[in-house]
Amino acid sequence: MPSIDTSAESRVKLALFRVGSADYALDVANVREVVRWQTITPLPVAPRLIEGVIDLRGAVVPVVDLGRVLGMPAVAASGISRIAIVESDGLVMGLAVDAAVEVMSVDVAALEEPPALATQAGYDAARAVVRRSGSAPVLVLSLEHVLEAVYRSALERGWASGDQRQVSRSEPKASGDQREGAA
Amino acid sequence: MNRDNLIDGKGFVMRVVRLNTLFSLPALAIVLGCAWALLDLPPELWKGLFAGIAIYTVVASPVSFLLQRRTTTAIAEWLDADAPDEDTTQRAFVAMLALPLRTAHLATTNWLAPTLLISIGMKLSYADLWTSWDFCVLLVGGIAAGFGVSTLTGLFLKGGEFARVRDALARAVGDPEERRRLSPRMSIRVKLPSMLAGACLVPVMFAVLVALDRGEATLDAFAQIWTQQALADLPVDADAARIAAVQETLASRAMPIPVKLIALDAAEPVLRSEVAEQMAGAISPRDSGSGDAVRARSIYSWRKFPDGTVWIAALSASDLYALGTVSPWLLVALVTSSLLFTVILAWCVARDIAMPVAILRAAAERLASGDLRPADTFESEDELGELARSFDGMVDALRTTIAGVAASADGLEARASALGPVCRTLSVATVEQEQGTRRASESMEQINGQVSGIAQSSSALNESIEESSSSILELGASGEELNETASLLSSKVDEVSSSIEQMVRSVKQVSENTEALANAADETSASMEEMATSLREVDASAAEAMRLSERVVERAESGRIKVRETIAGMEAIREATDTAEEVIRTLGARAVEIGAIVDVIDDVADETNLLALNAAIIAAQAGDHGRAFSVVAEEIKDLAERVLASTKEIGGLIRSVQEEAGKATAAIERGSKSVASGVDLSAEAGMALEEITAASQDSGTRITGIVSSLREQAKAAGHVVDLMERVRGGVDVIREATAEQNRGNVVVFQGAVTMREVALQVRGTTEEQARGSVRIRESVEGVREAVERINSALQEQSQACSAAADFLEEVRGRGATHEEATRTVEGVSRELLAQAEELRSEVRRFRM
Repeated sequence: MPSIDTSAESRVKLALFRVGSADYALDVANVREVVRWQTITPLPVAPRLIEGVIDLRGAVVPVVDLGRVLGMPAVAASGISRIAIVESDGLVMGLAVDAAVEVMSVDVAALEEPPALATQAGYDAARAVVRRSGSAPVLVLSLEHVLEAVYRSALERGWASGDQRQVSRSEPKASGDQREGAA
Repeated sequence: MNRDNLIDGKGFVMRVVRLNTLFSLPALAIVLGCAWALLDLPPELWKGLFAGIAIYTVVASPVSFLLQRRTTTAIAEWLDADAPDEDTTQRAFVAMLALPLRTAHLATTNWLAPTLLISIGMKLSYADLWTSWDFCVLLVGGIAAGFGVSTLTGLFLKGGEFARVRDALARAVGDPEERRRLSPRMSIRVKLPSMLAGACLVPVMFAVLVALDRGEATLDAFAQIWTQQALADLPVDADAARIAAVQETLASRAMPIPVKLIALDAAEPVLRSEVAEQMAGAISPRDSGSGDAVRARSIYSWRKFPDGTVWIAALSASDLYALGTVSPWLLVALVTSSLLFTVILAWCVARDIAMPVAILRAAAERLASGDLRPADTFESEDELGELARSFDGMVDALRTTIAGVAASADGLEARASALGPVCRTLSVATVEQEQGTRRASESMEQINGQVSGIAQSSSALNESIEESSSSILELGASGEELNETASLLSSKVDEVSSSIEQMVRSVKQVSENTEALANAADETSASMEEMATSLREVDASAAEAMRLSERVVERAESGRIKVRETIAGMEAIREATDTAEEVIRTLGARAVEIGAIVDVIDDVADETNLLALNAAIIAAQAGDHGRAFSVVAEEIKDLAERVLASTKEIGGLIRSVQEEAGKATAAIERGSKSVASGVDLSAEAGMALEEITAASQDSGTRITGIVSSLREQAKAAGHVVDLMERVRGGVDVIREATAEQNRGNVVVFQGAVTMREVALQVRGTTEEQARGSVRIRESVEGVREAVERINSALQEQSQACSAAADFLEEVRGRGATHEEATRTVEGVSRELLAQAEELRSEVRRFRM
C-alpha cells in the first residue's frame, strides 16, 4: 500500500467528496479534475461496478460509482453531483460522487491508521482516518481498493442485469455481494 | 494585444539563424577537439578531414538555412501582418510552440549527418589509413556536439525576445482551451531528463574515449609486444656490432622511449639486480616471455638464446606512463568545459521553470487583490504551460462570472429601485382610494338621510292623499245624493209643470207641493254647503300634497346630484384600483424577471464553485508555488458560496413578493368587482330617483288638475247654491203666487216654465259635477299610484344605498388590506435593494 507522500512537508492535501451522508477523501495527487455530471453511456457485458463511459474532452473515460463501490446506494444525478477524474498507476477513471466538497490541507499528524480490529480482519478500503474539528472523521480512500473492487466485480458480469440477490445466495462468501445485498 | 514593441518578422528569422550559427561554433570546437585529442592522424588525413568539413559546410548551410526559414515562416508572417487573421495567428502560435523542439531536432541532425557522411567519405578515400577507431571517435564527437548544441539552442529559444513573442501569441490566441488544443504536449518528465542527458553526453563521451585511448593496460600490452619484437629481431649469434645495429633500428622507429637491450650476464648493475631478483624463477622453464616489474619500474621482455645467454629488452615504466597518462591540462580543460556547460544548462533550465512560476505568482497575487483585467500570460508545451492555460481559463471564467454577477446586481438594483416608485404610487393610489371611499360613504349617508326625509314626506303625502281621497269619496257620495235630489227635483218640476194646468184647479195641492219643493231645495242647499266644506278640505289637502310633491322633487334632485357624485367617486375608485392592479401586475412580472436573473446568478455561482474546486486541485498539485493560487481559489469558492446563499435569500424574497402581489391582485380584482356592482347600484339608485322625480312631477300635475277640478266643482256647487236660492226664490214666488193664485194664471205658468228651465239647469250642473267627481277620483287614484311608485322607488333606493354603504365598508376594508400589502411590498423592496447593494459591493472588490 503506497503511503501518502509526506517526505516533502508535514502537510498533505486531500480532496473531499460526499457519498451518501458522509465525506470521503482522496489524495489530491490522484485527482486530475472534477467535472459536472454528464450522461454515462452504459458498457454492456462490462464488470458490474463499471457504470459506463463518458466523453472527457475527446478522451473516453470509464466511470465507477463510488457509492456502489463502498456498498451504499448508487449515486443519483443531481445539480451538485460530480464526476471526479482520478489517476492511479497511469489508469484514468471517473468516480461518480454525490458532491465535491473542498480541497483541504491537513497536518500529517492528523492522519491516523484505520482501527486495528478492521485492518486485521482484511479491511483495506481506507488508508487512513482524518480527524476534523467540529465534524465527523473522514476516511482517506485507497484507489487500489476501488480498482480491486472493480476487478472483482468482473467475475459477476453475467449476473449484472439479473437478480442480484440470487448472486449473493449463490456466492455467500463474496464480500462485495454482501455489500450489494445490503445496498 | 500589444504587438508594437515586438521585433519584425525579418528580425525574428535573423535572430533564430544567428542563434543557430552562434551555437555552431562550440559544436565545431567539440568535434575538432575530439578529433585533435583522440585521433593520431597523418597530415594527409587531416587535410582530407578539413576538406570534408568545408565541402559539407558549403553544401549543407543553404539547406539548413532554408529549413530554419521554414520553421519560422508562420511566425514571421504574423509579426509582419498589420492585422493578422485568426488562421495566421493560430499557425504562428503552433509554429512558435514547436520552434524549440524543431530547432533542437534540426541541430542534432545537422551534426550527426555530417560526421557520418565525412567518416564514410574518409573511409572511401583512405581505406587503409582511416580505421574504425577514427570512425567511432568522429561519430561520437558528432553525437556529443549535436545533443549539446540542440539542448542549449532549444533552451535559448524559450527565453528573451522569443518568450515575449510567444507570450504575445498566447495573448493573441486568447482562449485557453484553444491554446491547449493547439499546443504540442511535452511533459517536463520527458523534457528535463532528455535535456540533461544530452548535455551530460559531451563530458561522458570524452571521458570514455580518453579512457579507451589512454588506458594503462593498453600501454603495458603495447610495450610488451614492442620489447618482444625487439628481441625477435635480435640475431642468434649476437655480437656487439649486430646489437648496435638492432638498437639503431629500434631508435629509427621513432619510439619516444628508448629500449635497452641487456645480456643478463653482462647486465647493468641497476637493472640486473632487479631482474635477477624478480624473474629468476620465471626465466628457467621457458625460452622467452614478458613481464612487468613490481612497482612498475620497468617493462621488459626476455629471450633465452641457445648459448645460455638471456637477453632482456626493457623500457622504463615511468617514462612510458608519462607519455601515456592523460595530461593534467586536458583534464582541467575537460572539467572546466563540462562545468561551464552544465552551469549554462542549469541556468537555462532554471530560467525555463522560474520565469513561468514568477509570472503565474504575480498573476495570482493580482487576482488575490481582485484585479481581473487581462494581463501577461505564459505559454509553454509542458505542464507549466498547462498550468498557465488553466489559470487563464479560470481568470476568464471568473471575469465572465463577475461581469455576470455585476450586471445581475445592476439589474437587481435597478428593478429594486424601480419597485420603490411603484410602491409609492401604490401607496398614493391606496390613500386616494380610501379618500374616495370615505367621500362616497359620506355622500351615501347624506343620500340616505335625504331619502328618509323623502320617505317621511312621501308618507305624509300619502296620508294627505288618503284623507283627500276619503274626502273626495264623501264628496262623491254627496254628489250622488245631490244628483238624486236634482233628479227628484226635476221630476218634481215636471210634475209641477204638468200639474200647472191642474194647479188652477188644485191650488191647495200646489201649495203642498211647493212646501215639498222648498224642503227639497233646502236639502239640496244643505248638501251643497256640506259639499263646499268638503271641497275646501280637499283643496287644502291638495295644496299640502302639492307642497309635499314639490319637496319630493326638490329632494329627489339633490339625491340625484349626490348619486352622480357617488358615481364619480366610484369611477375614481375604479381608476385607482385599475392603476393599483396594473402596478401590482408589473411588480409580479418584475419579480419573475428577477427570479430568472437570480437563476442565472445561481448557475454562474455553481460553475464558479466547480471552477474554484478544480483550481484548488491544480494548485494543490503545483505544491509550494500553488499556495497563493490556492488562497485565491479558496476565496473564489467562499464568494461563490456567499453568492449562492444570497441568491437563495433573494429567491425567498421574490417568492414572498410574488405571493403578496398575487394576494393583492386577487384583493384588487374583488375590489374592482365590488366597485362595478357599486357603480351599477348607484346607477340604479339614480334611476329610481329619476322615477321618483317624474312620479312626483306627475302627481304634482295631477294634484293641480284635482285642484282646478275642485275649484270648478266649487264654482259649480256655488252655481247650484245660487240656483237653489233662485229655486227658493221661485218657490217663494210660487208661494206668493199660490197665495196670490188668484192674481192670475199667466204668472203661475211663467213661474212654472222658469222653474222647469232652472230644474233642467240644475240637472245639467249636477251631472257635470258628478263627472267632475269621477275625474277627481281618477286623479286621486293616479296620485295614489304615483305615491306608491315613489314609495317602492324609495325602498329600492334605500336598499341600494345600504348595499352601497356595505360595499363602501368593504372597499374601505380592502383599502386597509392594500395598504398592508403595499407596506409589505415596500419592506420587501427595501430589503431587495439592500441585498442588491451588498451584492454590488462584493462585486466592486473586483477590477474588471
